This record gives sequence, C-alpha cells and structure tokens, in this order.
Amino acid sequence: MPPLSDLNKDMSHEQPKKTRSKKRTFEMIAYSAFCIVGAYYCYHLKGTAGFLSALAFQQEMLIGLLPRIIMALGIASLLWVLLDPEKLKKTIQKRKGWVKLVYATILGAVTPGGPSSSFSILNMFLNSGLGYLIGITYITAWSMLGVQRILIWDIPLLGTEQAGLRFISGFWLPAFAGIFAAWIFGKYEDEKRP
Amino acid sequence: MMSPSLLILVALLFILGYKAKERNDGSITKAYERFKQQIAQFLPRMILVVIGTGFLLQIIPADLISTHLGKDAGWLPVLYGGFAGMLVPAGPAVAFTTAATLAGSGAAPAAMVAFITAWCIFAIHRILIYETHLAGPRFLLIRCVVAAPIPFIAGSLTHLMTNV
Repeated sequence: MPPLSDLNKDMSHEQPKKTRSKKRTFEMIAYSAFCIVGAYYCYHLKGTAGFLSALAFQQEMLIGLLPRIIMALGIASLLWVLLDPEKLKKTIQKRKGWVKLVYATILGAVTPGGPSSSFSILNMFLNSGLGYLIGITYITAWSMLGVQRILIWDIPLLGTEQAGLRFISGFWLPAFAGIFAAWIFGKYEDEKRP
Repeated sequence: MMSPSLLILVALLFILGYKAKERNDGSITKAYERFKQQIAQFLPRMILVVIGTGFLLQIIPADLISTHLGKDAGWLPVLYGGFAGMLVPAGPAVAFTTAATLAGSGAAPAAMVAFITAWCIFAIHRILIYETHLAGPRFLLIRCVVAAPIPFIAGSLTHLMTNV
C-alpha cells in the first residue's frame, strides 16, 4: 500500500488538470461576483457608513484568520505525508469489539486530505472485510470530526467554543452510525473476514 | 499576544515538522509542495469569502435571523439548521462562512452545530463526485439512512448544553 501522499496523487489523475483549472476559474469568478454584488447592495442599502463598517469587519476577520489558516494548512500538509494508511488499517484490524470502533473514529478524525484519500481508505476497509460497522464509523468520523477541517474551518471561522460544542455533541455519533448500520443488516459484518 | 488556539497550532506545526524532518526521506519537501498547493487553492477563496461575508452581514437583517434561528426560537433552529446544511451544494469555504455569517447575526449555537454537521455528512457535491463512484450506491444508501439523524441529535445536544 503506498503512502497517503502517493495515493492522493494517483487519484488526482482521474480529474484532468484542464478540468480542475476550469473549475477553479469558475469558482473564483463566482466568489468575486459574490463580493461585487455584496459590495453593491451593502453600499446601496446601508450607505457609506455601512460599507465602511463592513470593510472594518473584513479587515479584522482577515487579520485574525490568516495566521491560523497558514498554520493549519502547514499542519494538514505534514499530516498528509506522515500518516501511513496501511499501518492505520493494521492497527484497527488488531483491535476487538468497541475498541475497534474507537480506533475507526480516531482514524477517521485524523485522516488528512480530501475525499480521495478517505474514500480510498474506506474502500480498503470494505475490501479487507472490516465491514459496514467500521466503514460507516470511519467515513462518518472523517466527514464530521475531521481534525483538519476543525483546525482550518471550524476554529478560525466559528471560534473555539462553537467548535468545541460541535465536537462534544458529536464525537460519539460516528460509532452510533456504525452500530446502527450493522444492526439494520442484522449482524456485525466486520466479523466477516476474507 | 498570541491566542491559545494559535499557540496550539504553532506547537503542532513544530512537532510534526520535526517528525517529518527526522525521517530524512524527503517528507518535509513533499509536505512543503503540498502546503504551496493548498495555499494556492484555499487562500484566494478564503479571502474572497470573508470579503463577501462582511458585506452580507451588513445586509441581512439581524432580527430576522435571531427570530427564526436564535436561542429564543427553541428547538426549531436545530431543524432549520439540519435541513439547510443538507442542501448546501458547495465546499467548506461557503458552508463555514455562511455559518459564521449566521452566527454573527444571532443564530443559536445549536443551529450552527446542526447546520455544519449536516453539511459535513451530506455535502451533495462530495456524494455525487466521490461516494457514488468510490463506495457504491448500496454503501451510500446505508450511510445516508444511518447518518440522517446525526445532525439533529448533535444540534439537540448542543441546545440542551447551551440552554441549561
């Protein structure tokens, strides 16, 4: 099994560079249009005072966010090269019962990169007989508790308190989803090993 | 003065950087390349979204949001937040800044938890691009069924925690 960085590189070939660059250009145009329309309506509806107040808010937010975003992206990049999915998979396979669920949750939370890496790991789990219990727990943890997402988006944009509330109220829910999935299918499919 | 959250990020960066350097196998160069790609991808969007949000916050009537999504609206914000989060067909820049905009205008933390959790789990673009192809429709169906209550459970727990 190649390291996560190589795995992502392989997946990225699926989407040609031209398509990606077109998509990015379109997104940038859409975001720019959002700013221009916002600026126009802000000035039109709230006048100069409202416009200046919006500028002050933007300045404050950017000054607060930029260092965090830069740090968080650095951390995410380092995690991306340091984590080895094969080792992580073996770690989960060695565990029994609910400990396996805890490991799947933690692994989901720390898996760096976008969906290409997490879905590759998920496929690896499903193909190696870890079943829906672990697969659903892992992918739900990745989607809702991803450390990278919490560091890059939750904390900088919504604040530590809100990010903490989201984590505390939801850290057990991926395991709940996994157990629920296994229960619906009448048996713990992770017991099926090739 | 550095805030505690920034200090944690700096400490993590140094620890992981040291680990990567210690490996001596080009990990640090790979990480740096990845970092440059990520900066080029995220930073311009981030800046534009923050600028757009700044204008939006001025335009949206704060009363409207606090009436329907505020703490005084009871459990309804959890429902609104959960369903709205499922329908956002965009990446994290849009979802999180929308949440920040709403939070800044008086939306309850429970609504934000339900909104972000729903978006995280059901991001439509991710389901269509990756999940249907990489995990298959059967897995997708099971996941959607078992994960559907999660945003509402998380939002409700937050509501209980913040209204005690």
